[in-house]
Amino acid sequence: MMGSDGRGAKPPLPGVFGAKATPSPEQQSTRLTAWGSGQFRRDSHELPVVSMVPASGPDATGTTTLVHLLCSAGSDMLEPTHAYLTAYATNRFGSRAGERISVAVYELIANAMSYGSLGDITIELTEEAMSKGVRVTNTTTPARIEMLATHVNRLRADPGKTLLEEMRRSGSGGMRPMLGLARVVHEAGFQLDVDFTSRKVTVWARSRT
Amino acid sequence: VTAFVEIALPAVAGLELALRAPDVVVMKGTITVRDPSGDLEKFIADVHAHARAARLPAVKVDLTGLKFVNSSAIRVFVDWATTVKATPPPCYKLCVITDRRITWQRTSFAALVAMVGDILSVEETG
Repeated sequence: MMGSDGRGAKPPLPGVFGAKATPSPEQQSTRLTAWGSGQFRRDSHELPVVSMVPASGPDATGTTTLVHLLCSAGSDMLEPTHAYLTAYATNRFGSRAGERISVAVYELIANAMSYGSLGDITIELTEEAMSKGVRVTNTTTPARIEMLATHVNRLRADPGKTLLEEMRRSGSGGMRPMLGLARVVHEAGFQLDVDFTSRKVTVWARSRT
Repeated sequence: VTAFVEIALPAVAGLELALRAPDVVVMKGTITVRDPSGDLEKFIADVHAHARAARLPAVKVDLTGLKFVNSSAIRVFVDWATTVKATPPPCYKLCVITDRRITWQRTSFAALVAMVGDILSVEETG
């Protein structure tokens, strides 16, 4: 997909976005911009966008990044980004794996958007020899990091129990429950790896096989 | 009492809602809007009120065509079930019709049955 001025535009990457050479102003505000040269670019009007970074890898750990997106925090790009990555994953890995990745993509991005601070959110679809996954990086507050760490420890101990506890919490009308990551682990069967560096959080959901 | 099928259906992006007399709610498509509760809560409250007023023994919720939902949508189902559970008798029971091939339905409703199995049953198809 090309920028509104068309400069330096590359052919669209295969996927569901398609190409619109001259999008309307409405389309510009929610357009996903794909660049094949590694440039990150915002539209001149500075509305939130998602930018696509070229696929890379495998890196030293054997991880290939199949899709790499940068998304402005606070943008309304959750649904189209989810739709795109679900379609991509289903096309590449088949419907069963696509269904699982769809859950991880949605819930990880939704968490990053809900609990993250301002700044770009990085979204990657990854592939290793024996697994595939979704990796989302964002910045947040120390309090949120602590809450996430506690939640992930509960999930590692017993994902099914944690899902049930979060559902009970939802029914009790208390604090906003954290069902998303519980679904990623219990329902989609992903392993969660979480890395904290200062205020930056990376959550990597990977299939176990 | 408003006829069951005359309950107003909200417009939720990606979701196709239908009512079949006397007691079936059909949901198809996907729920990916970030907070669907605003639109769905009023609808569910209407269904709840009608079912109680009409003294329906059960409300069946056919989800076999609902392929993907986010966790906010799961909370809507949890809230519905806990509302029924908290309602003094006489109150209807919920019977959810699911497709066992759709993972979110299998896992979410297994957990929900563990919570409120006395008012919720699951009928699996597929």
